[in-house]
Amino acid sequence: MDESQRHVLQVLIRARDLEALRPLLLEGFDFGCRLHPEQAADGSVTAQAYVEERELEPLRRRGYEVRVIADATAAGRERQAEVGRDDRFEGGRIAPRGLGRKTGKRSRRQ
Amino acid sequence: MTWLNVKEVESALVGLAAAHSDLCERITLPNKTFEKRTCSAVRIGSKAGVGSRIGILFTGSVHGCEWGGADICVSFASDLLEAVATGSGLAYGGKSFTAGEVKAITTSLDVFVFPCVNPDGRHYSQQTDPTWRKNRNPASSGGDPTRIGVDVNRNFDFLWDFATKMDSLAPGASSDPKHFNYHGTAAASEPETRNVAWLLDSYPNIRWFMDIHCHKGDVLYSWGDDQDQSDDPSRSFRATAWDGKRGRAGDAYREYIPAGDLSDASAAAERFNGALTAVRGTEYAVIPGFDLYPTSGASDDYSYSRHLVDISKAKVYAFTLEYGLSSRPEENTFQPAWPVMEEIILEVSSGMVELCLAARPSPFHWLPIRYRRRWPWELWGPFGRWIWPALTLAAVVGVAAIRRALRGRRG
Repeated sequence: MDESQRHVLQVLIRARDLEALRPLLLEGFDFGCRLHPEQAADGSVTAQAYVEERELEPLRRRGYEVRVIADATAAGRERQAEVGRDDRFEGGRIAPRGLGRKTGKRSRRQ
Repeated sequence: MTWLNVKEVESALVGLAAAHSDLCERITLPNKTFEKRTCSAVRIGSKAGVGSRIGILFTGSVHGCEWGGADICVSFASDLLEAVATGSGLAYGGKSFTAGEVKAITTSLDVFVFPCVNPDGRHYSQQTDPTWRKNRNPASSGGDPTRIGVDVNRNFDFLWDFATKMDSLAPGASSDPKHFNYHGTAAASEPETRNVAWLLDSYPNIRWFMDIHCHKGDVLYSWGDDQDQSDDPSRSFRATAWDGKRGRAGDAYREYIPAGDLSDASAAAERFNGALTAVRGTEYAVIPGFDLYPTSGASDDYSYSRHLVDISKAKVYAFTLEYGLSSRPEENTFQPAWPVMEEIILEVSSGMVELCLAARPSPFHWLPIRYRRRWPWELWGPFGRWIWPALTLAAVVGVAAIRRALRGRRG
């Protein structure tokens, strides 16, 4: 399947303990930049991950509790519409402005 | 402003260098990406004394889908330059910096900003698959589009050979090109990785580094491969005796970091977080990179490890930022809605300005960096960091004593 056709969901995966989560890491499940699972008092761990839609059921069948929190692909496609289309800085003829507020200006640079 | 495309990131840097030529120099990185893109960084700081001041490097958008890194970097660089040019201070929500503080950054530091390390991945994510993370190198794909790309932040020369160096159950990366954290065919095999390393090599005055990622709400300091410890220098990433034992929490191996470095790094990270919190109350977690699971081949550990591998290299305090609070649903995503991203840009920029202020040299750091590089204080043992200040003080006292003696003789 072409990567462009992936349908990726943002999910929370709950496993009974850290060791139960480890196989998913070794199998290449996308836990983002850094896997920071949250551990509950009963020892169970919950971690955020990005999985393809077709991987949901197999994960559940393996005993993981999987809760979908967002459709990452759909949300990303909405954001893609907000990406600059051309070149607002015209090749460098226009300098960008930062979002911070400039306070107590003495003079304006020409 | 909305999300910058890859062309605009480059144009923005050209524009900043043109509009602020007295303070801003564009640096063309030597390694073109697989899709033949040329990347740029900027150095912000007075022209006088380039390279003799402490440097701080910010990198963004190492991962294609983490668009905000580049936008944060461009906004931050623009803010600094505009504020200095107009003699202004900077305000981000509830946090303000005086004009004097902002100017002091550009007179006492070289601020390097490399907004988009992985433009091929960013372009693919912005145009095709929004969740794309890696670069677009197809060398290991065997023609299978699902196996394209290398995770640039697992490709750095730090425990890159995880199969040898890390515990097999805690590798910190993957050797399977299909995986999101595929580490490539060799350490620094990727042009994006080499561009970051090139900056560190070419500007040895760089002593601080922050790599901007998302999303979690963390300011991470060294180390990322295992838990920290400051008691036993022999338990180190260089020690082959510990190969295969790194990466598991709660076992015998922990990565050595001198107590002073740990304290300096965590204090600087806290300062970053304090300035970020002051903007609108957001609080990130300030923690080591390792938290139950490791990373190998990451930019932060590579940057900090360089001086331990080669003592002629300067020590670089290195951090990874994971912007966007996971407890806020609107921020807990690779690409928040733009108004949400603007709020994040403001608070992260505030942290970046504060980190620059934290990086400014102490009064005793006036000695030219080339001398400090030749004889790094680590060579002088546990009190080495006080050698130069002590020599300076001794020289001042000595000269004063000689002058007093001469005056006494004349009198």
